[in-house]
Amino acid sequence: MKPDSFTHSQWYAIGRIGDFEGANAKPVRLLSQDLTVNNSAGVLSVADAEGRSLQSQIRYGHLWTTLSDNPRPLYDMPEFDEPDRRLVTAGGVGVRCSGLRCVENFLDMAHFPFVHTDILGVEDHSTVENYDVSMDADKDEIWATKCKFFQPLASAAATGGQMTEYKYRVPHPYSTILYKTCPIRENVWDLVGLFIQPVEEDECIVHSFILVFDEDNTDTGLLHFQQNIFLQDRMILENQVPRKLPLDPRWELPTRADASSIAYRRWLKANELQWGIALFDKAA
Amino acid sequence: MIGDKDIALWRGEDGKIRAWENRCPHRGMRLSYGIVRGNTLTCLYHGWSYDGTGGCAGIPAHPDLTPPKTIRTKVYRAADSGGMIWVANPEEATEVPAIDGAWAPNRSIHVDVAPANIAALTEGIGAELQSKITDHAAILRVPNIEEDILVAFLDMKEHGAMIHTAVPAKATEAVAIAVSKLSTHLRQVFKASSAA
Ligand code: FES
Ligand SMILES: [Fe+2]
Repeated sequence: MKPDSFTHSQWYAIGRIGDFEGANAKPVRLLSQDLTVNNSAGVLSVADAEGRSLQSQIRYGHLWTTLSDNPRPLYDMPEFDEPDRRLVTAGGVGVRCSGLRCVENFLDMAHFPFVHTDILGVEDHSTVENYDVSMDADKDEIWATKCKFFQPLASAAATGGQMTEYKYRVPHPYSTILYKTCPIRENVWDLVGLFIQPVEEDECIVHSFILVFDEDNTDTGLLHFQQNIFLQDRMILENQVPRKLPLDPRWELPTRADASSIAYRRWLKANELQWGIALFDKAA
Repeated sequence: MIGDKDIALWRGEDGKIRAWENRCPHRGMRLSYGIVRGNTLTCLYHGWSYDGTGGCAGIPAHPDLTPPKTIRTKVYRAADSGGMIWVANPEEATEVPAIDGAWAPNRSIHVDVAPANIAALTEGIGAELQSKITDHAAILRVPNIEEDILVAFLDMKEHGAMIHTAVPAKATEAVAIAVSKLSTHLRQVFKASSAA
């Protein structure tokens, strides 16, 4: 299937800047197409299989490209300009499922006690309190706010259990950002996010980042914490059936805790996104 | 698997065997990763639990909510008979195969290509048909083995096939070992290259 226009018109992160060192052209796959990244004296450029050059830009520690000649602007994250924040990037991790499934998993608090047991949740605090979901019509993005969850060890800097407050943002079909209360500073948010590179309809590479105020943990410590969590999620993601995201309500049944996932699916549908979506199969 | 359908098999405390579509109705997680507690199966992803009939019995994110009756797994028919587990589509009205006597499971092996039918399997073993049970199962007599044996195969389409054997519960260890060796031989008979 050819990407629908919503999918086609987006910018996609295809690696960290440091992943493209050296003069050799590097192959990259995006939306079922083979691309090449060239590095000429430190200047990165991207070309498609016919050698046509694609638009590219460096932002948020990553190289972004688009298949479109007239892409939608890449969303803003002003937090990247704030002093004192530390950016840690994890590098790409391949996951055998649609990248849309990864976004949905990231928005989901109900799995914390079962998948991230004793880190992001505990079994006897499994309740998901109601939270607010809203659409920012100007920017065409989704926000889930007032999300609260009891967490025994919310981040690498946390020292004990706490009610953690979260906000989630979905500014792009393949990007999502979590804003969580900073354990060491008041009234600021730490950011954790995913830039997903859709490789095939049912295969993706997840580039994750952390942008935090944390003076104590090393980059490696922060990275390990995040990687550990992500590997737990990957085990789930690769065992969801079907691998593409089903939008047909006959296929998967949500509950109140899934309000953000419901909004996400509705938003994808409203934007007529089709690439990466599982069609309903009566026989299944 | 039945054909190309992925199945989660589990047995509760009550000893009853259950076969469900291997997909949680909530967000599609494979139920075979779930945890059996008493007579319920709990999904690994969000902990939704399902009772023995496939109905949702609890949603941990909302402990006070009684799950709507519409949340159900797809349930296949499942039964124990002749030391083997039998599964059928719910739409099919076939009886559970009645197999006389007490049988002990022997081996389950994977082969690349499914036997064309029970006759092909009988021939592959070099056996004589004693009684046909279904299109995929029979009691056979094999030269040099003192007991009748029960053989059944499961066609998993592009995933190959499983061949299961059982011997009478009273069979000696020597018989059990001979049947086990026979299974290994079958892997050669139903190799991918022999299909061509
Ligand atoms: S996918 Fe099974 S409980 Fe959510
Ligand atoms: Fe997770």
